[in-house]
Parts: sequence; C-alpha cells; structure tokens
Amino acid sequence: MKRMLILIVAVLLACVGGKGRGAGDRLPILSAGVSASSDGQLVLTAEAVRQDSLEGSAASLYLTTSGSDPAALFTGAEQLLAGQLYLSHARTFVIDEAVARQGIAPLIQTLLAQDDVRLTLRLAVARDVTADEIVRAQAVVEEIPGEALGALLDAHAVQGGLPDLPLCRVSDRILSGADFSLPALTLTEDGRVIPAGQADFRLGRMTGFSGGEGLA
Amino acid sequence: MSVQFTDDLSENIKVMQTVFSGDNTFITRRVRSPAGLSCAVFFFDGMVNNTAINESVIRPLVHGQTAGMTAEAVAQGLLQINDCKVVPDTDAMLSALLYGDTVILVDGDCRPIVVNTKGFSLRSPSEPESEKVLRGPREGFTESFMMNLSMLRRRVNDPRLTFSFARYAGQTNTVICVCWMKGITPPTLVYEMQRRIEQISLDGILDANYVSECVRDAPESPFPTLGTTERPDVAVARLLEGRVVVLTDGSPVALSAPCILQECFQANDDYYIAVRQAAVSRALRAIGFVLSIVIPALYVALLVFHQELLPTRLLLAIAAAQKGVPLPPFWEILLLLLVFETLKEAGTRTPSVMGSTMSIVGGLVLGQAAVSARFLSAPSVIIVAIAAVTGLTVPKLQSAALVLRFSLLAAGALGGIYGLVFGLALAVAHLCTLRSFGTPYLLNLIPRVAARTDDTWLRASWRKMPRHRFLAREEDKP
Repeated sequence: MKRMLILIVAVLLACVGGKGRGAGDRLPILSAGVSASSDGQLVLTAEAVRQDSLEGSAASLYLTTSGSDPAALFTGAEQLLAGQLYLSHARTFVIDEAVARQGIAPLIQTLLAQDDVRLTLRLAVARDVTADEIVRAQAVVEEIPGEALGALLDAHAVQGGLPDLPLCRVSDRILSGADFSLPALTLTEDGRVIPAGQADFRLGRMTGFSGGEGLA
Repeated sequence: MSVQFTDDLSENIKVMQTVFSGDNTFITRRVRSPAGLSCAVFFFDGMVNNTAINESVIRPLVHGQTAGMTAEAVAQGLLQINDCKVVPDTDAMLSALLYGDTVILVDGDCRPIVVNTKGFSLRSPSEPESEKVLRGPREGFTESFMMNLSMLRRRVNDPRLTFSFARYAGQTNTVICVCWMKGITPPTLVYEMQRRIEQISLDGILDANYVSECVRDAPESPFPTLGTTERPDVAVARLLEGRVVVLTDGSPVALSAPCILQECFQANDDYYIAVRQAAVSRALRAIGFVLSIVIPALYVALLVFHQELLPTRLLLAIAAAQKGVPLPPFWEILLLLLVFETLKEAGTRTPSVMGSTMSIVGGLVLGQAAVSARFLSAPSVIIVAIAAVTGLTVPKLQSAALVLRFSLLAAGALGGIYGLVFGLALAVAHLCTLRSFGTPYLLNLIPRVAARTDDTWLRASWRKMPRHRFLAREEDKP
C-alpha cells in the first residue's frame, strides 16, 4: 500500500509539469472557406465560436488570412491565433468557384495534413458568390452560422438532394482520378444560404455547375 | 501471570489479594457457614450479576451444612447456579475472573471453582448504521460476544452449526470464535482460518479489524478480501453458503471468508425486496461504482487531450465556465476531490448535531462561493459531486474507489483516454490475480470462473434459486 501511495503521489506530481490545457484555451472553428482575391492570392475565412459566460449565448467571430497557397493560409491563421487552428469541430469547408476551377487537390492535401481535421468534413462550392460570403452568412434559426451550414448540408445529403461526399471520399476520388460532384451553395436575396445544385469535378478540377438553376 | 494455590484458604486469599493489589474493583468475600464450611468468593465489582452472587452463591454457602467439603462437592451439591465448574488451571481461572465470572476457593482444597456470573452492562442490539435496510430484519451484532453467538444460533436451528473458540494469547486475552457449518463449509477453509488466527502476533485485539488485517489475503490491495458485516442475518447467509464467519469479542463486526468482489455490490435489501427491484438496485450500484472512479479522470482526459470528442455546444459551455478560473482542469478536480475527502472525514468524526451544519457550509456554501469567485469552475464541481455521490452507492468498496479515483485521475491527466484505459486494465489485471482463501476474487463475475449459484451479477427469484450456495458441496444443498 505504501508503494502504491508513493506511486500515485509521484504520478500526480508528474502531472504538475504536464499540459494544463483547459476547454477555453482553444478557439474551435465551425466552418471555413477559401476564396480567390483579385490579386490572385487565396483568402481563408474561418468562423470561430466562443461563449463568454454560461448565461450568455455563443458568438461567432471571423478570422481572415491570405496566402499564395493553401499551406500558407493555415500557417497565417495559426500565426494570427498564436496557436493551432483548431479544426476538430469544423463541419463545413466552402471553396470559391475560382479556386475550384484551378483544382482542389492541393487544398485537400493541406486539409488532410492537419491532424485535427475530421474526415467527415463536408466540402461545398460557392456558386455566384464568394466562399467568404457563404461563411459569413447569418443563420435563420441556429445562433452559430457554421452549425447551421453543416446541418443544411447533412440534411440534404441524407435526403439525396446534394452529393454526399465528405473529405475522405473526395480525397479518394481525386487519388483514383474519378469524376465527382460537390454540393453548390449560394445566397438568397435576403442573405440566407441555400443549396444550388452541384459542382462537377474532373481530375480534381471543377468543370461546371449542374442543376439548381434559378434557385437563387 | 501464574498463581499457585495451597490447601490453606488464608494463604490463597493472600495470593489473590497480592495478584490484584491496588485494584479497588477486586472484591474478596469471606464466607463461613454455621456448620464450619469456610470459603472465599472473589469477583470484580461492576463485572458481575450481584443478584446471582447473592442468591445462588453466597446464600447456599452460608447455609452449607457440612464442613470440609471438596471443591467438586461444593460445585455439584451446594451452588445453585446453572454454570459452575472446578478449574484447576489457574490461568484459565484468572481469565474467567477478569471476564466477569466469580471464583470460589474452599478451605482445604487448592482447586478453584469458577461460576458464571457475568453481569456487565451491554449495549442492546440495534440496527447497524452502516447496513440499514428498507425492509427486513433490523437486528445487529453488539459488542457482547455471547449475545452475538446467540443471534447466530437462534437463526440456524441446525446441529451442524459449530462454534470454535480460540483465546488470543495477548494482553487482552480476547476470544475469537470461528463459526462454520459442518459438512457444508470445506474443512480446509476452516483449518486455514484457524491456522491464520493462531499466527496473529499482536499485544492485544480490540476489534475485528485487528484480526482482519492479520489474516486477509493481499493485505496491500485496496479491495477487501475478507467480508465484514454487523448483521446476524448476513452472517448466517454466509454460513449457509459454506463460508467461515469469525466473531471477535468486543466487536460488533463479523468477518467472513472467502470474500469475492460480487458481494461488495450486494446489499441486504437485495434479498428482502422484489427481485426486479433488487436487480435494478444492484445494477445501479455497479454503474455507480464505475462512474465514481472513472468520471473525474475521463473529464480531465477529455478536456486536456480529447476536446474533439466533446460536442461543440458542451465544449463551449465548459469553456465559458472555465473562463477566468486560474487552475487547469486536473488541479481543479484534484483539489475538489481532496476537499471532498476532507469533508467526508470531518463529517464522520463530527457529532450528528453539527453534521448538517458542516455539510451545508462545506458543501453548498463553499462550493457556491468557490464557483462565484472563479476559483473553481461549475463543471468541475458537478463532476466531483457526481463522483462523490455515486461512490457512496457501494460502501464496501470506498477504500478501493478512493485509490482508483486518484490513480485513474493521474493516468488520465498523463495519457488521456489511453492512460485511463491503461489504468483500468491494470486494475482489472490486479483483480484477476486476487484470491480470498483460495477462491478467485472475480468468482461469478467472469464466465470461466463461476460457482454453483444463480446469484451473480443479478439474482434469480428465490423460487428459482433454492440452491444458492457458492461453496457448498452438492450433497449438502437443501
């Protein structure tokens, strides 16, 4: 018993030097989008969410960084946060049409290189609007827009209205060279996000939209 | 201490008075009958039944019609009491005298007569505080050894019930009784218990725990390998299952062996209430124990290492609660667990009148103030409260729960869920190695170690469980 107590105390003391991270030390990202700027740079818009008190509600805040390639975007975001971009709770990643037409393989590789990105992350392409606008669009019911966006894509994927292609399947299609489609999203006149058909891809590059015409 | 008596009564009285010189409770009563019978009666004030001495010992001696009677003649023909005998062994005589018996020395005979006149004050049987039941017998063992034995004998009307006394040769001369059912309890088990009791080497035994710590298997394990109860009905049930029960004079706690983990989750109510209700209660106790040891460690592991496993809303709520709290989750939980254990310890030692005040101040006011002052976060208080409350569901495993709770907390803080699982695996491996008097500790709880019983994780109805003994031989079953 004495030895066991000494062991427990020693382990507890060892914990003193361990990581004392708490739930509030990280800023979870709920959704993100990559847009192309006019100067040819890529712009990452990430919706982080925080809640300051138990009585209050969660509030979204948006981080924006730019870079020449996807890896530079994430590095820039981490420098901005002075910590890791915490993508574990991210449900949706929106890609600009222009970026999609250039090819999404580098972006997919960069996402897969992040150790906390879920393979169930849903990808979508912004149609007639920028990815930044989709990510920043306010939700109607949900207080967190990123959650609302994820719920919208989940619901339509289950109902069969939109392609059910999470990150892992997209990666698989790109690696195998197969054609695939991603959900397309757009904004209504009052600023709500709605599905707008699908974006078709061949060899990792977007070839065009199909379906959903006239929805917006 | 040894004394030598002669045929001279005056000398013998001097010997006794020398032995107990300075003891004001030692009484010597010289008796001489008109016919010339001369005796001396020795006893301790407060330890004897005065009526029995006056009516059954001194009165017959005073009216003795014959001079020069031997000790046997006095014991057999004069004394009017149910239990008296000539005891030539002076050590046994002294021991009996110290335990409330009366010693009579007759002039002309060096052999003392020991008369059972025990009459010291005793606590009457009451329901044990630690083993209360909603329905069922409410009698509990007391500190009186013979009364405890009578409680067992009254419930088992069977000549196979055997009581074997062993007087421990320390300064306290405590009597230890090994009880078993002949033909039902394995003789090797009885022998092993008696052997271990004989090997005890202490200067005194004041409680059953002295015996327990000396005879139990794996004394360093936090899990109890010797059963304890303060209820005679439970002790009898264990006797019927083929176990050995050990009663210690001066202690209301009966020990039983072998002890298996399963019985730690059993409560007396399980057998006195409806079977389905008993099944739910037993399942709740098992779940409660697991929650009690795992929840603090799991909370720390999730917050420190596996935040991705928490739903977003929950993570946000916990983050909001932790905002401004200076301590990381591990230290919050550790501190709260220590405070809880301290409060529990203080509550055990505090008089019941002050107990409620202390629990309000300690639990409610202190907890609320600590959360309001942002010294601790509300989720941590909730987690420790859940661990504390669920830990009380299995009182027999409180010691194990305490050790496991802190060990697993450390494992979870060091290695996250991997550390927690590793810690749990070590605990299970330890349980697999435990044995109580040769019986596997996990008997009935894992498939390959099962006894002949329908009383395992859940119990069957009494109608379907006439043979519920787990050690008894097939031919001895009712």
